[in-house]
Amino acid sequence: MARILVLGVKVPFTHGGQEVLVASLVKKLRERGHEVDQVELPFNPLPKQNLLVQAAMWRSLDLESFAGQKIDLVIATKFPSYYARHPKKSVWLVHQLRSIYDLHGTQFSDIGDDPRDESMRRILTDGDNVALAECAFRSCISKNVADRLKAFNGLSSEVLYPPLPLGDRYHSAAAEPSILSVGRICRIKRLDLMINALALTPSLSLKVVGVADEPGAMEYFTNVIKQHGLEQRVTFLGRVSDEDLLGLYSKALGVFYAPYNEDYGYVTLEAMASSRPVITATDSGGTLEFVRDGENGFVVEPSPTAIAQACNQLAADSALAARLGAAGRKMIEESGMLAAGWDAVINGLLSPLNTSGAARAVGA
Amino acid sequence: MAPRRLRIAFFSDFSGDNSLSAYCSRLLLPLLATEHDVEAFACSSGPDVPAVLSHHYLKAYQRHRHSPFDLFFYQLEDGRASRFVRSSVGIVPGITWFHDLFFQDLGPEATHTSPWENSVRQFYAPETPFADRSVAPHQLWPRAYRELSLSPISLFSSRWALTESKTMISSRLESELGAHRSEVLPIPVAAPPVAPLPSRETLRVSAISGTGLESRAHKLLAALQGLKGTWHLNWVVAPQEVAAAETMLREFNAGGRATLITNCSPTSWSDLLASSHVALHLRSSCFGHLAPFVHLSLASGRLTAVSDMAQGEDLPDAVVCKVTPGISEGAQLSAILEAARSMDILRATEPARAHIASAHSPKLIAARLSTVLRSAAPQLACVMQRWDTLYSAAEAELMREVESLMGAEADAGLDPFSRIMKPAIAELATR
Repeated sequence: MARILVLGVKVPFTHGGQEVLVASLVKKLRERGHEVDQVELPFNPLPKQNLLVQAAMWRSLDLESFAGQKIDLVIATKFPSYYARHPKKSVWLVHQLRSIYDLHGTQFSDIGDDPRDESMRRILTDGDNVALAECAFRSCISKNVADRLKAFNGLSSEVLYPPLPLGDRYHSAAAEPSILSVGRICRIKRLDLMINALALTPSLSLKVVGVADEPGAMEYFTNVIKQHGLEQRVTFLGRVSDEDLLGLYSKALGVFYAPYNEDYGYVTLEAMASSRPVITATDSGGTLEFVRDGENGFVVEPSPTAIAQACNQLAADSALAARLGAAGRKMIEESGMLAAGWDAVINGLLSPLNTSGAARAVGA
Repeated sequence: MAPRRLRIAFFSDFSGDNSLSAYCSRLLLPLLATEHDVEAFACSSGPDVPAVLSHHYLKAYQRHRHSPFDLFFYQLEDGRASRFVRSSVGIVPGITWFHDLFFQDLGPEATHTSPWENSVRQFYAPETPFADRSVAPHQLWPRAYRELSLSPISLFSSRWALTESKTMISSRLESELGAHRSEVLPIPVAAPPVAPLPSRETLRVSAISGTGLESRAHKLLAALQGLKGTWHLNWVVAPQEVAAAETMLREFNAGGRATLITNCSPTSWSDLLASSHVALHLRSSCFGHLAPFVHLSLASGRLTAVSDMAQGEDLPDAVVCKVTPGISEGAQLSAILEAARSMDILRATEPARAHIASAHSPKLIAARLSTVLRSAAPQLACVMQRWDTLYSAAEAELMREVESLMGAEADAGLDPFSRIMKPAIAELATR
């Protein structure tokens, strides 16, 4: 049995897919008899120069041993945890610092042409090239993240999809005339697309699970709701228990999940496991690895009109909704993303333990 | 002795069928690559670019460090697909070929709050402090002030844009070697073969137009409504304007005699022209451009009309019918359409075809561009040297900011910045 540290990055008072992934991984490693602990440093992206401090903080950590006890393996997850030093470092990459890569030049990045910003972008890109290349095993949570790593850093990696956090507990029930949205409430998740679409779907309501983690986000969405007079049809539920979440999934007519270029998106898989059709967008990234337009959901242009059209189809044709939902559930069952998928993930991440050196790096 | 091959970083959109940048790049790059070592940079990984190596634009600095470029070339137009070019011109100065000076939006926040004016001041006076991060400048108008100012050498695809640019700049990057250069570089055009004209029983008109006032579709439909004899209109319109176009066709009782076409590429426009007598490009606005569609119309031997405003003004009077927007516009259009019924169109359009063949030949434009690049290289080398100094200062300033965040001065005894963080950052920065 090995002594393993799982490295997480925590933005205080927020909770998202990364936290779920780290907690699930720690649990599954312990179930297999390993001695596991979680190391987290708080992450503060503001002011933006702080990004360099955060990277250097992780880089200055030597995790080889603690109190005379050797650490056999560290598993890094997202920026900047993979900057930590260890001779046997695996990475299960959730994402890099997206504002210097795929979000650069979009409304979601604050890295511009200020020479100081560009200097920082170059330092961090070079840093990623070093810190990720030295990993003994490199994997990503989706093909989308693996493609970015290849495109921007020239590094190959394996794709290890995270199994669903609630395993076999997802179920379905009779659908209510309501669309469900799950996720952090912030600009990049584009909840406003769904709210604006709701104005064009008079027979439906919207339930939103998640909390705002961006200044002004809630005010913005509240204004959009007021603008359309949708106060009675939109309910913000905040953070909910696992049981409540399973119940909400089970009764939703469909699940809206259309972030901009999402890394992976547990929500997509959870919806499918609950036999619910997913409505996503053509530029939603990782969700497109699972959602097939007209087969298990809808892949539409990121516009309120297109989303409303998809919602109205579900509302008008319950047989269609059921067929799409069943196809999604079948895909999940066949993919091993319920409980069985953990073996492949853990075998990959622990593979450096079976080698004498840093040998199982996927070719750069 | 053969002239030295320049190493050129070529930034352009290569993605869309409707992108003028992609159209020009496809024609010019294979020709340019015979004389120079060109690497293409786009907003995607390894885009399909003819004849040259291609990379994502964010890798440009690594390629430059690995094997320095002699110059950076940017092809800039309005539209989402070219946003990365707008960002990139502020990162390394070079030669910019402007197809547009007026944009539909301010661009991403990081661009429209760019401290570019401060960067220009620092370029001339290195002692100028870096911009205060707490005060984000805001560009008020979606115009190419920033892009023009950061381009030591500017090319324009129309004379109109060159003239317009002169009113838009106050201060810009220049080298000790000479004053700023601005000149016109016409777009290259792959002239389609001249197809025989269709039967004159029905007058066939093809038009590229929006539905807004500046597109003049209301004038065209009114003129067609008053036309004697049968006619058919092929109306190329943006997908989001189809509903409005249908409404207009109903208003002018033209529904049965018009076909709406969306997503028209230069190739499909050429196909459309083969079955047309008249080509109309009546948009009269400083936003957007008519190229390369109007050039294809001229090259295809069809009677071509433009609005006598903005880019339309650029075309020689002898090769195109110019319609002055206003009261007499309808009458002018009617006269052109009536004339098309009886005139020898192929013969009348010979000067237009000759103009395109001589002024827009891809070989000629590539040769001219190559000359510009060669003559600009020494001047740009000076600019880039000074720009590198600015970047060294920026990196030092960034380190000072990080040190300040770490509170090193306040706790000099422990000094975590110097002892722990600085070596870690230095390791990251020197790879």
